[in-house]
Order: sequence, then structure tokens, then C-alpha cells
Amino acid sequence: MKTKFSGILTLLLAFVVQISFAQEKTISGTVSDEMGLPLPTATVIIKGTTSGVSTDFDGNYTIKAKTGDVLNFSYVGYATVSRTVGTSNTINVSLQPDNALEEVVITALGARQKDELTSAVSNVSAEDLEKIAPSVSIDNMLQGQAAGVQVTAQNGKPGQTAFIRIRGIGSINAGNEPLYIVDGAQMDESFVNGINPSDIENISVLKDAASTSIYGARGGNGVVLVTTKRGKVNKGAQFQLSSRVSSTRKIKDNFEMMDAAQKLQYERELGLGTGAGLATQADYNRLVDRNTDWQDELLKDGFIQSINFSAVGGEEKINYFFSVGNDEDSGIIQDIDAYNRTTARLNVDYQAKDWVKIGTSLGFSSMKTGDPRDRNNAQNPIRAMYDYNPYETKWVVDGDNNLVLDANGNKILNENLLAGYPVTAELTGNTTDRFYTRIFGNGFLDFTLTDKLSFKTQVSGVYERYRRENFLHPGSVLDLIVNSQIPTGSKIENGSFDLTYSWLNKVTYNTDINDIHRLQFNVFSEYVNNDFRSYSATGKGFPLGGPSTLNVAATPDAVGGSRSQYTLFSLAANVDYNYDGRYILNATVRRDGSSRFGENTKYGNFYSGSLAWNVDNEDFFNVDAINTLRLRASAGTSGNDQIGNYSAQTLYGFNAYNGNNALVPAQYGSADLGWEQNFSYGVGVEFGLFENRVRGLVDYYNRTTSDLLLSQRYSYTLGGFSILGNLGEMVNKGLEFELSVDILRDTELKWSVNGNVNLYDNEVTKLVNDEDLFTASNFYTILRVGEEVDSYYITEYAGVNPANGEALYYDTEGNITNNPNGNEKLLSGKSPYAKLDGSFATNLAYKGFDLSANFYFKTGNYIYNLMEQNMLNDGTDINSNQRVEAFNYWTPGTTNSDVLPRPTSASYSPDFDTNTASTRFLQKGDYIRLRSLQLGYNLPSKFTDKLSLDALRVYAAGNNLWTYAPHYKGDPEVGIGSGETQEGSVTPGEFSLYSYPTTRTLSFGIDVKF
Amino acid sequence: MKKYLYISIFAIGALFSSCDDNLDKTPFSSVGENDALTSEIAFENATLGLYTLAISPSYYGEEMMSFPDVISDNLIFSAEGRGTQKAYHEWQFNENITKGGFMAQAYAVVRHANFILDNIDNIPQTPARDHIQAQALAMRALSHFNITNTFSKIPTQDAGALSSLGMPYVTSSDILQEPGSRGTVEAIYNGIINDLETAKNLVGADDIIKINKNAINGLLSRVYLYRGMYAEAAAAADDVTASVATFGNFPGVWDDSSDDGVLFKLKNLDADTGVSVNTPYSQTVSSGVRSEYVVDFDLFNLYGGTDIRKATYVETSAYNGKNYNHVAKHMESSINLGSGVVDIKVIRMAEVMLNKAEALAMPGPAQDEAAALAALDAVRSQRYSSFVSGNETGQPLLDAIALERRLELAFEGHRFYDIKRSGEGINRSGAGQYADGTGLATLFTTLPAGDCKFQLPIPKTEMDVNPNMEQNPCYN
Repeated sequence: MKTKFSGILTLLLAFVVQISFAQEKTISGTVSDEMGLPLPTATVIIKGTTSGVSTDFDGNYTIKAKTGDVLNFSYVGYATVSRTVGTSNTINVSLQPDNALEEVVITALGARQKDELTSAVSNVSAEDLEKIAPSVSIDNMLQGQAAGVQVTAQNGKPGQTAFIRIRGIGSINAGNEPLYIVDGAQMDESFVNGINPSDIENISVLKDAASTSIYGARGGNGVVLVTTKRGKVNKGAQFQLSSRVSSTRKIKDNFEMMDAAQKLQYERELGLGTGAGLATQADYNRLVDRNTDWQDELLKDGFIQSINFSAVGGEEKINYFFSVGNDEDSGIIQDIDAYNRTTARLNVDYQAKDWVKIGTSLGFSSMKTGDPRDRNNAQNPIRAMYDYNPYETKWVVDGDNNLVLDANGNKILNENLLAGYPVTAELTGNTTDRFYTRIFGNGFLDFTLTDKLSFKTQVSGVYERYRRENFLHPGSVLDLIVNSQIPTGSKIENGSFDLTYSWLNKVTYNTDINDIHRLQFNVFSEYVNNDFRSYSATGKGFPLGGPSTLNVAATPDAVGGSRSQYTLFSLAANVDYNYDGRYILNATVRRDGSSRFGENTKYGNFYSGSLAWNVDNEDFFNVDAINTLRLRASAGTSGNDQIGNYSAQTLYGFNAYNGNNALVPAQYGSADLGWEQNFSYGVGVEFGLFENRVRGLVDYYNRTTSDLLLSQRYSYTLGGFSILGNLGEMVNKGLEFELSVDILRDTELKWSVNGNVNLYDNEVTKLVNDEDLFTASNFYTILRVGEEVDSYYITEYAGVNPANGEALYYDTEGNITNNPNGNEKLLSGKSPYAKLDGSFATNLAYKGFDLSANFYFKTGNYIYNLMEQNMLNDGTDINSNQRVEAFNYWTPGTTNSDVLPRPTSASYSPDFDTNTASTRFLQKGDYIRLRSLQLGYNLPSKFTDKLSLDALRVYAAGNNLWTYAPHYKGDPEVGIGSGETQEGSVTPGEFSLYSYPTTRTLSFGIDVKF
Repeated sequence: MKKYLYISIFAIGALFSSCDDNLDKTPFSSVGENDALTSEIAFENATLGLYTLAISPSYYGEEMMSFPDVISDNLIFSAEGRGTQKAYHEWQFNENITKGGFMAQAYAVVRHANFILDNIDNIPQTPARDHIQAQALAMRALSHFNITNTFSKIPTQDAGALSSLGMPYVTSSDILQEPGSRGTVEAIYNGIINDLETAKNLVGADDIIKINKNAINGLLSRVYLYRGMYAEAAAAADDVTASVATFGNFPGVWDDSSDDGVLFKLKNLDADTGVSVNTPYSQTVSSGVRSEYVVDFDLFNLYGGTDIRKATYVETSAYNGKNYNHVAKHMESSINLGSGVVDIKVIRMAEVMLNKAEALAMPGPAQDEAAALAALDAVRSQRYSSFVSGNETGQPLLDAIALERRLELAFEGHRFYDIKRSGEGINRSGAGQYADGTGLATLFTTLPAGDCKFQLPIPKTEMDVNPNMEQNPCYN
């Protein structure tokens, strides 16, 4: 269609041109792309006129022009080239892709050219995502992609989501996660891993109030806008098949555990444990001989298989995107299949009339995970593999260390480990599976009332059904322990149904005056309704090796269930004024009414204003080297409404007395309870130099969160309760830098580098009565006015007393003492949050090959290394294996001060616990990591044409291939310390305690388009 | 063009479609305070709530039934335990080591009683409503009584006790009210007595798992005794229509197979509250009973061979190869599977008879030694397999009553208050923790009479938020 239209246009234009001018000559030539391939439908226009032609299918054109005329050759996505008509009648032009082509950014109000924006928005496109080492969850893929967006994987568990902190820590007790909006509908952050990353067209991160205030009470932590792929009109169906296989392995420790001989030696030195009790050389040899590597025994190499199929296309009135995919990840823990997810998506738009478009986005995801216990004991394989002694064995062995087999010839699990319970029995006999079924969908009508006025109405639903099954197998080791050696078995099934639906209505009015004053008004309303139900049921008594549905259970045990709801109704208006592409003004107001807020604070108003000045579009601006220069400033408010559905109410709940319902107070609330308020302001400058080969931006932000949700204790005499109030305040500020440079652009070998850096600072400025505050998520940290949020609060270690080997500490007055008790103090400037983080990447392309590498780094954060406290436990628990450095302890005569304290031993018992929590185990978390490395090859078109393919790409990728962490012993990317210890509230990176390890991944993939 | 009109109307309608009603959401598992008390049934349920709040481990469930024994002379610290309440046992009280949780929970009962009383006019006056009101008043009085005896002086403790610092007597459920100041011991006792006397005239049906007439009269006899109003104490005791648990039924009282002599108990079931009353004393593990505290060796020897209480209250058994005299009073239930999940006996007839005996044996206008001896013998005759009255008079009679009280009410949360109100000091035997009295003796054997530590400190957490609160001397 387009070609036909262009042809007619060409003819017409040619005709017009011919009759208009007499002394013209005919110029002809070919327009080609950077690879030398012809560019059909490229436009050739005589500058200063409307006369022009299009190239034909072979890129050829013919145009009449006078000598001295300037011809502009342009094509979408390529830089326009100008040529002056000289003596030659032939002008061949090769167009180069226009890297500086104004990026399209998705905002709350739709797509915008970057130079039309007034706010700080980071954009990640589908192509960007492809360059990132593959992950099943998009939030993980955002790491290092945008300045000011700190992404920390929760842990290495397959399918796990990430902690995202946009411009700092916004809250203490309410959530810190951003608002996720997927195709216009709000989505819980935990659902994000239900979206297939290959379905995503674009992710925008809205960082400042100017862009988030339109989300009012929900936008305070920033907004992540996810747009899924849609078909394009008049583009024939294209199918894509992508397949990837990967092998994963736990990242190698940067420390060494003792082997059997070393551990026995250590025990003998201390006169404790098995080693001390060995009577004969033969016994010793037998144990040394075993030399079990427990990481080998409990971990495995993981295998990931990912396959995706999609079809995308469109005709005149309809376009579509369809995909189906499956991801399977075995994980790295033996006996457990970690992850399996199937996704499907259908997005369709239909131009039913020229004035109305009907569309839908439908996503489906079904996910199953098998989880190991993430707790701080030997039920957790990660703790077990470091604790178990190398002179013990997984399977029962005889006196000659030969395997003992049972009657069926199977190996027998060794249940007599010194650390107690054998974790393999847990993994096989106490299994937990989680099942998530999610449907994300919306349907919309988009009316074009006049060319200036449009109206869109959209209904969206997000539904999750979650089920967890925990089965304690009858006859398993734990079952026999808890049921007095009688095989019983028990099953817990619990789950939830979570439905959010929303209705969004938007009226948009566009107008302009002489194309100089461009104005857009948006008015919209939004209604959100969430309904959540949960249930649990437990049964006891199952047949050995038999089925495990609750119907089989001999006795019912316990039931539970709950339900909650919330609603939000909002009205918002936005105006966008663009003066001649030079000055842009944007203002937003939003009024939110929420069922979560107190009776007196049902409604809140949010506003923002921002402006941008495109200096480069000014007539007076005439610096050749600077192609882009724009200044931005913004200020505004937004809120955080993650306060619990009924927190504002005083409630009475039920328990039972003698089998009858008893009414008791459940919660005390204040009718004045409202959202946490963010006021932020920021300024930014964006620039492009040397034909936009060098592009960058600098942003400064200052974000004050006031009315922080804190619990205020009331006098015991009134009943000993606490009431949540808006009582605290905190300031986050930072500087963000982004820079990308095309070092080689117009050559066959292309090379670009880019990077971003984020400098960050935080201060708590107000707390209840300005008292120190420990929240449920503070284990080794505290909140104090004037300090950084979650600053460490522990005893300061003063090294080893060279005279007697005692561990020494500073007391609160700064004196040295051997008694660590009660000397905890706040460590100013030491918190789990990085002062600086960022990433840099480089991309090389040569012919069909491309190579990209992406590094992530952070510095300035501290991690409490609880694992090291256990691995260097100073003889306090002789039965757990130790790191090799444990040998480096003080002995009489030691003069070297760089030693560990004198350990508890058969002959020595220190006055105070030497292995107590102190800064001895607090380590800087600085690291740099090669997050991804990818080598790809696109088969040239001459081959793909022969195969009747549109494109074929093969690639090999590596994830987390190299890490440098100078201070921290262990993997420095710490999110969750211990999943079950920190249930509900986590200060990411506060301490490490045997959560699922990070893996390094090697992948090979192939993408075929046809 | 019409369709544009329709669409426009639709658009405008859609934009403003939501109404405010949708923004008022009430929870599904609980009710708002304005909807909580709207019917007699709701009041009944709220009244039951008083008892479940009282069963909380920080109140009667664990604390009230253990710490008055832990900080006095009935128990010896066992090093094999988990070290719970050790600082209390050693009288290391300060603003952070005090019974803050107990204070909070006792006042939570007060607040809940006030919530019922403040709203009582939501339903018309009926005998059922009177009974509800009586329960709320009595539970409010009982909690104030327990609080003031812990943090303030007891009236008979010394000459200045009545006018010394009391505790706030709270009579409103308003959560935003200005927290009260301490007032005097006399004032809080007046409040307690007033509430109990009012309740006595309102109380209805007899049911020992709720406040009932006998319970109120029994509690009054205790309160008047503590207050030093001996005639009233004896009279209140006389108003109780029950008898002391018989020798035969006595062991069954403790595993809840018998209610003989129980005037008021908190019903503690696995499926409801499920609190292990025994937790502060011991836990039973595969290798035996692991005690936190064991029976003081002197007290153990005070239980004679013919005393039914010896076998009922004490279990001598081995843990880690050593014999201990474990507290067995709260260990076994005939109803619940949960270990230590037993009903909490708040007041029993035996105590009422001992209250009466003491009140009548004290020198003064109410003194009637014969009646006192009769009351004492009513208890003693049901505790010894072969009982012959000692026929004591004078000081020996008072001593015999005190001894019997210690023996009868041991490990039930009385001992500290009984020593305190007599104005005496705490004197521990100094014996070791093993069954034969050997082992590690405590370094903390004596808290002299008149020591300011008899009044526990007001918690720092309370001092921080209540500007009207005043700290006890000793802890400033």
C-alpha cells in the first residue's frame, strides 16, 4: 500500500516539478543504507521548497533541480544528508543511522519525544533489554540501566524479583518499591516476574515528582512503566522463534573452607570436637580420607531452558502481537526443581471506525517454584554446605569409607551428622512448592472525537491465584522427630486470590496556534479496586508413599482465612505547553481519595510543575560542537499509600474463650492517618556534542519524604498500644550522570561506550520524639535523627589484646574493654546503602558481529557478614566447619596483631563471648561485576534470503562472569539476608545469612525471524 | 454528530463515575469501634474478651502466675534453664528491667473493661446487662489491684503506705485522653473497693469461668485484707458460699478434672488461648523436665509427708543426671494436649478461708482467734492425710496462718505480695538447685524489709510517653 502510494506521489511530484521550472536538469541516483543496501521510499526534497520525490524499490530516484539547489535526503531512523547540485547529474547518497534520533519516551500520558519532556525519565527499550544478560524477571534486568535506579537482586533464586530503589529510600515502615504500571494498569511488584521480558517493548522509569505526581498518592517511590509489544499497521506478519539454553553455577567463594585434614587439625589444636577425641592414626586417616566437599554434595550445575515464539503484524485496520513462552530453571540445589514458567500474551488493536479504536492486552502466566528453606539452620542447604564437616559423609559409609547399601542396593542417607539434621532429608522429605497463576488484561476504546479531541476508556484487571503446598512426607526424618518416631506426615495448603481491577478514563485535547504554541490538555479519572482473600488448611496423617491431597489426611488440623479490600478514586489534570520547541511547561494536579486513609484524610491533593528549555533550538544558539542542549527543572509532590488497608481504623477482632467468640481490640488507629508525602525538586541538563556522538545528562534531585509512617507508643496506663501516625521525615538527595559516546560511528567497525553514575545521600530528619527507632526490619541497624537511614548500630571491635589474645572492644565512651555487652553504638556514615553506584557498558559491532559488555559497580555500603561470624566462630561451635583463616588465631607469644582472638578451647574459656556481634564482621560491600557479556552474530541477508528468513541471530552470553570485591568475603550482591528470618520486612543488604546464592550463567541462544 | 454527543456524555459520566461510598471500606475479620458494641451478644463477646486478654502470657498466662514467686523466696534459679527472669530473681531492677509488659497488659484489660462500661448504654438495662457491667467492673478492679501492688506500696506495708505513690485508676476508654498521674495508694484502693462493691450488687449468674458473686466476695476479702480492713475482709469471706477443695479432689483441681473450691478461673483451652502457664517454670524435653526455677529447698521441706500438696506441687525427677524439685503445679492438664495449658485459678476458697483466718487473727477490734483457727483448720483439714488441729493462738496462730498460706498458694503469684504487705524482708534459704539442696547457691539471698525495691520501677517506655508519670524512689 505504502509503496503504491509513494509511487503515485512520485509521479505527481515529478509532474508538478516538470511543469513549474524551465531551466532545470534531471538529477538521478541511488539512496542506500549504511550497509550499501538500497533504501526504498526515502525522501528527496529540494531545500526551501515542497518539491520532492521518493526513491523506488531499488532506492533509485530522479528529480529535477537547478544547479545550486540543495537536496535533502531523508529516511526515518537515518540522519538527513544534504547535497548541493553541482555539475554532475548523478548524486548517490549513503545514509547513516541516526543515533541521535530523538528517543521516544513513554510517560504516564503516552509517548513523548525526549526533547518534549520536562521531567527525569529513564528509558529502556526492547533492544536495550536484549543486550542485557537474560533473566526471567524484568526488574533484575534494570540493574545499571538507569542512573538513580538502584536494583539489587533479592537473592539468586530462580524467578526471584529484585529490590528497586528509585532515588533513594523513601520510607521506613511503608513500602520502598516503586509503583509498577503495566499497559496502564497498576501491578503489585511481586507479580512482575509473571511478565515475559521478551514481550516488552519499553520500560520507562519515572523518577521525579514532575513525572510521578500524576500517580498521586501511589507515585512517591517512583514509577516503572512497562509497555508490552504491539503490532504495527500494515506490516506483514513476522514470526520469531527464540531459544536459549544456559548452564548456571554458584559464584565461586572468595574464601576457602577447611578440608578434612585442616578441620581435624583445628579441632586438635583447640582440644575440642571429633579431632580431639581421635585415638588412633587409623581413625584419623579414615576421616581425612573422606574429605567431603559439601558444596559438591548439595549443589548442582543448574540448567536453564527458555523458548519463546511470537507473531507480530498488522493490516490496515488491525494489528496484533502474540507470544507464548516457557522458561525452566533447575536451580543449583540438588533434589529441587526450582522454577518453571509458561507465559502467553495477545495484544490486539482494531480500528473499528475511523473515529474509534478497540484494543486489548491479555497476558497469562503460570509459574511453579520449588523452594529450599531459607532460614538460619541446617534445614537450609546453603547453611548446611558451609557448616557440615569435611570429614563427614552424605551417605553412610563403613569402616573403610566404602558406601553401605540397603537391601535394594540404594545408598543410605547419613542422618548422624554433627550439625544435626541432614539437609538432604529436608530437601526430599519436607517439600514446598509454590504455584502462581496470573492474568493481566485490559480492554480499551479510544475515540477520536475531532482531530484535536480524543477520549480513551480502559478497564484493566490483574488477577493472581497463589497456592503453596508444604508436605512433610510420612516417615521422613523430620516427620519421625516431630511425631515421636511414628510415621505421620502432614500437609499445609495455603494460598490467596488477589484481584485488582481499574477503570481509567482520559480526555485529551491537542491544539496549536500557528504551530508555534502547542498545547495538550489531559483530564482523567481512575478507579482502582482490590480484593484479596487468603486461606490455609492443614491435615495430618498420610499413607507412606501415598497420595498427598488433603482429602487423604486422617485428621484435619487447622484452618484459616482472611479477606481485605481497598479502593482508590482519583481525578487528575495535566497541561503541557510547548512554545516553538524551545520552552516546554508542564503542570499536573491530582486528587486521590483512598479507602486506606483515615476518616479526616480521605482525600489528598498532589501537584507538580516542570519546565524545560531547549537551548539548542534557539536562534541565538550557534555552537557547532553542541547539537543538543536542554535544561530542565521540576518540583512537585507525590505520595506513598502503602500503609495497610485498614491502618487508620480502631478495630476489634475475635478470638475464643471456652469455645465462644470473644471480642478483643485488634488495632488502634487514627482518623488522621494519611499517606507519606514526597516533595521533590530537581534540575537537569542534557547535552549532545559533536553531531551527538557524545550524549549525556546530569541531574540533581532533592527528595523530602515527610509524614513518614511511624508507630507512636501511648502510655501503658491507657492500654499499652501504639498508633500509626505520620510522624517522621527523611531527605534523599543525589546526583545522576549519564554519558554515552559513539567512538566509531560511520565506519564498518562501530564502537560505543556508555555509563551512568549515581551519587546518593540520605538523612533522617525527624522521628517520633526524636528517639532512636528500631523497626521490624532493623537487625544490626537503627534509625537516628541526623544520620543516614538504617545506620549500623553495633559494638566497635578494637582488635586482639596482644598480651592475652582477648577480643577487645570500644565501650560507648571510647575506652577499650574486653566486655562487649551494652556497647553498641551508631556508626555514622555506615549503612547498607551504597553512596555511589553505576554501570558502564561497551558495544562493538563489525559486519554481522556484535559484542557487548556491561559492568555494574557500587561502593560505600556496608554488609554485616553473619556468615563469616559463623565461619570464624573462635571455637564457640566446634562442630561447624570453618574457613581456613580460622587457623590464624592468637597464641601465647604472638606479636602479630593481625590475628583472630584466642579461641575457646579445652584449656581456655574467655570471660566474654569473643564471637559476639561487632564491627569485626562489618565489611565494606564495594564491588564491581561483569554483569553481562554477549557475543552475537546476525546472519547477512544474502544467506537469510536464501533460507527465506528475515533474520537469524545466534549469540553466546555470560552472566556474572567476574566479580571484584576487595573487602567483603562472600558474594557482595546481598539483598535478602535470610528469607524466613526477615519475613515481611527487609533492609536490603543489611546482613548476609545463607540466602540463595548468586549464580554465574553461560548461555547460548538463537533468534529466528521469518 | 449525535454519536459524538453520546460519546461525550459517556466520557463525562465515566470521568466522574465513582462515588464516595466506595472509599469507605471496613475490614472482614474485625469490626470498627463504632460497630463493635451494638447488641447484648456483642457485649457478651466483649466481656469474654476480658478473660482472653487476662490469659495473655504477659498477664495471668505466665507473668502473674510466676514473677511474684520468682522475686521472692519460693524458687531457686536453675542453671540448666534458659535463664529467664534471672535479673528479676536477683532484684536487678531498673527502668528497663521491670514488668512493663505486665503493666501494659493489665491496663489493656482495664481499657477493655472501660470500653464496655463507656458503651453500656448502647443496650437497655436488663439483668444480663448488669451482669456484663459487674464483670467489667470486677476485672477493672482486679487489674488495678495487681498493678498497684507491684509498682506501689501495699497499704499494710508500712505506716506511710496509704499516702505514698499509687497508680492511675483509669475509668475511661478514650485512647486520646491525657494519661493519668499516680495519685495515692489510698485513692487506687478506694477505686478498687468501690468497683468491687458496685459489681457485687450487679453480678448475676454463677459460672466459675467468669466473674461471679463468690469471686467478687472472695476478691473483696483479699483486697480488704491487703487494705488492712480486717472486719470487712472477714465479712466478705463469709459472703462466699463455697467450700475448700477436699483432700480427695485437690490434685484434680490442678489438672482441671475438678473445680472443687475454685471460685474463679480463666479457662485456657488449646484451641482458644493455648497459653502454657508452666513455661516460666519449666519445659519438658525428651531428656526430662528442664526447669527455669525449682522449688526452694526450705519450702520443699516445709511440705510434710502427709501433705497432699507435696506430690501435687512438686515433682522430683532427674534432668541431665541430676535430681531436681520441679514445680509441677501447672504441668499437667486432663483436657488439653498442649503442655502446661491449664486453667488459671484466679481465686480459690482455700485462699478466702486463709484471708478470713488472717483477718480475724490480727490484733484489733475484729480479732476472733477461735473463728480464725476454724477458718485455718477448714483448709488444713483438707490438706493432710491425718490432720489434728494445732489449736494455736496469738502469734503462733498468725505464724500458722502465714505458713499455711505460703504452702497453699505457692507458685500461684501470691508470695511476693504476702511478704511485702507484711512489711517483712525476703530471706531465701541459700540452698542449691538440686533436689537435696546442694548445687549452686544464689548470691542474692536477702532483700531487707523496707527496701525500696519492693516497689518495681515504672518502665522507661512508660516514663518516655507519660509526662504525668513519676518514677519510684530507688530508680531515679
